[in-house]
Amino acid sequence: MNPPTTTFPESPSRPPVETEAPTHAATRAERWLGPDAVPTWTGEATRLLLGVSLSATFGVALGLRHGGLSIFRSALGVPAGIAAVAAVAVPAFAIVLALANAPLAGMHLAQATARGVARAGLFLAGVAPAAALLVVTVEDALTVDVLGFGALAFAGWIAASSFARDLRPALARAPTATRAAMTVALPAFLLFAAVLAVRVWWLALPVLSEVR
Amino acid sequence: MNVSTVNRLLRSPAEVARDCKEDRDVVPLVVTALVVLAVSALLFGAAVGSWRGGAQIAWAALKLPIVTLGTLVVCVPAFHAIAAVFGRPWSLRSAVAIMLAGGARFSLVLLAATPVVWLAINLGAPYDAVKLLAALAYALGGLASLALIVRGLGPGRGRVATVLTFVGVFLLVGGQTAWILRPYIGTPGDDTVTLFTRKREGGVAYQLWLSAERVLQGRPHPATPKETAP
Repeated sequence: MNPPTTTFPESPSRPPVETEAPTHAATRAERWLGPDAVPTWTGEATRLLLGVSLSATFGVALGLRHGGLSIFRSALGVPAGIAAVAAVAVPAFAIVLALANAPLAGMHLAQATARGVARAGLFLAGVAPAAALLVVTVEDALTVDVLGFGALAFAGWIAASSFARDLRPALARAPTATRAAMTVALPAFLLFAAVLAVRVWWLALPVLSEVR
Repeated sequence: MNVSTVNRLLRSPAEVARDCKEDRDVVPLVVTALVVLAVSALLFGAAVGSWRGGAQIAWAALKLPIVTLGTLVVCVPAFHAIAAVFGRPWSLRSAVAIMLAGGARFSLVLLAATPVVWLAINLGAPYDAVKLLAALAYALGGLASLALIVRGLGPGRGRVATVLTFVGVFLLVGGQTAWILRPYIGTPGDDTVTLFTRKREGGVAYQLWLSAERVLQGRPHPATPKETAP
């Protein structure tokens, strides 16, 4: 059953992320990764798409091991894991947050998700050239599996920690019962997201499952 | 190439890193760094190749600048991305400048190690010892380079994570780039000089481990020809 609904009049209408306002001309990476003063659904969707697209470059790098169609399959497979978390796991978490009456608007969640995905996507795009070199030249398939899954897991950790960090200030203002529920729900969500992403990558990336 | 810039690279890494980060007067620094990188790696390669001698000197001298610059090219996007996701969203230009400055510092350490390696070979150092000496020079160069990069990252959250992640990527890429362009020293018992080898030999870390084991146990490389009795 739903707990009694509590209202939060002081609840901010905008995500309470720290404003890391740059004192200099913002770089492109700063604009992509930093919080928007006035977040919009379009802006967050663009950021999410950018992160997902950037992660495709890592997929291309993995696909180079076998070449041909494997490049396209991997280029779709890596973003698929990230998109699955954003499209399936985050809405499920939003329901849990609402059940626990957490003081979080949909925009909070959207911004935290988009920023996490953008960070993971940028990291994967950055290490894509290194991955391409290793995937093409390393003889041992197991080494490629370990390196590939290692990079994907690390990107997942980057996204998860960014997501948790963005939500923390809002959750800290919640009543004790909600905070207690969130101490279980947030780690459980992150674990579920990790398992879901790994499962999608395992199915969609043949290069990472060739040693079976 | 500017001698005062080389001096700054060695003596004032924090100042150089700050200039790179703030995109202040980086063009002369980058030009000097590229020249230092190429020349130092070329001379170090020639010294390493002198163990076999002949054409191996030229091949090793040609390949080591490619290894060093190739590693930097592959690692720059990684450095830029890793620094950005851990709270330092610099411009790509600043990331390139810091990486090249770090690379130049690394190469200057290789340059300092060149006469040591050459003398060791001249005194008859065995294959495994030369390999480990070259690896040690690379490790020292890496530390000197890291000192500049750490200063460039500055204080604040995410510095340790940035350094550890980047070092991991750099070691993998550097090791693999060097491995695919081997041999540099030559092979004991094999007088033929080849530009590349495609033998399955287990990887750079495994080969260094074997060499360390043989040096510590005082055993020669198994392919070393036995001295004939007079």
